[in-house]
Amino acid sequence: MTDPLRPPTPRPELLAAYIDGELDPATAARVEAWLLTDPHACELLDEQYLLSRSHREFWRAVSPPEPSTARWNHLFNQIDKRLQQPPASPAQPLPCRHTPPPTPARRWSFTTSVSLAIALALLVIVTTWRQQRPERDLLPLQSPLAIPVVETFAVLSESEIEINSVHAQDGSALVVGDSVLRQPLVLANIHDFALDSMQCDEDGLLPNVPMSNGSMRPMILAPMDSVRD
Amino acid sequence: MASTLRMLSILAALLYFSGTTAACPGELRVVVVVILATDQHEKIDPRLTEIAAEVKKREPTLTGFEFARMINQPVKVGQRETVKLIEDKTLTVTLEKGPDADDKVRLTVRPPTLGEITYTCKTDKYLPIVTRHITKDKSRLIVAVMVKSGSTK
Repeated sequence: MTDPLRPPTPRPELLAAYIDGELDPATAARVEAWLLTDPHACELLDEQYLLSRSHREFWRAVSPPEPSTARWNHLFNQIDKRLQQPPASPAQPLPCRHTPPPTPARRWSFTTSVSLAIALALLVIVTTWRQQRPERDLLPLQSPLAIPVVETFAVLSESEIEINSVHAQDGSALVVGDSVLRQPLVLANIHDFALDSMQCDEDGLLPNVPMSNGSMRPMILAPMDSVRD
Repeated sequence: MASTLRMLSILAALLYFSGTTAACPGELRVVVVVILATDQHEKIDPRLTEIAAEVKKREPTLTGFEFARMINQPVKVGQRETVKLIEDKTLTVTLEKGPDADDKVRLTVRPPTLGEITYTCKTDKYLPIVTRHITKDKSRLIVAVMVKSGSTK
């Protein structure tokens, strides 16, 4: 239970602020009165003092250096000059970064890079194309002095071939061959033919050889009155 | 190497075919045309127009003429050859004498259903022979025989 006649105990933050000199005079007097009457507060003050000193050393180590007065004056002068300049016209184009013209060395480097890129692309295309070609195209090249042999399928002419036997329905399929299949048959006339001899067949019959009529072509005709298969 | 072998093969084939198709010295070519005549239709092969007209003079009932087969048979003088015509029928032909000054040759033939016939005929002209053989499709067998000129070497 607390004594109502005793002044209230200040908070520890006040001790830290008192050590750092951040309190106003009235509050600082009140803290000093408390320290005189409370021996425990003196122990707290000693602890806070050590803590504040370590804090101060730490702060000093990590704090950036304080700009000098001359530096502050130079900075303020630059700010004043900027404020005194007239504002930029909105119609004027914004200043852009100036690109210097390429020097000869830079131009040569650019040309070389482009050339190398094109050469590399061509190499890839040619390599891919050669891999896709058939095997026969990959054969070793012959000497340019070698005479190329062009093989052609020789087709016989009409005089170089004779058809020995063919069915009539197959005759139209022949490309070349005996002209007998394509020309009308020419019969012998009475002056082209002469009967030398003739034998009877198994039935003892002789064929007809009508040659007396000059308008008729020579022909050997077996009589049909004794047809026998 | 392969191209050379291929060329040699083609050359050998040409020599082979020329040897089989060209007549040997003293050899002639006898051409036999197999014709089927019928009274079932009136179709006449354009190549047989003349033969059809001549046959119809003797056999008016035959109205249709069909070109069935052609045989080109090499024969030597004095040699007998047998030519297969149609079905199982054959024609035997013997070249009795080669071409004379008038390009006439003498032949002995034995057509189906007929006895031997010996005749002299000019080369490149056909002699029609109307046989009595009737085929399975009711056509009458006609053969036309010709000896080609210029086939002697």
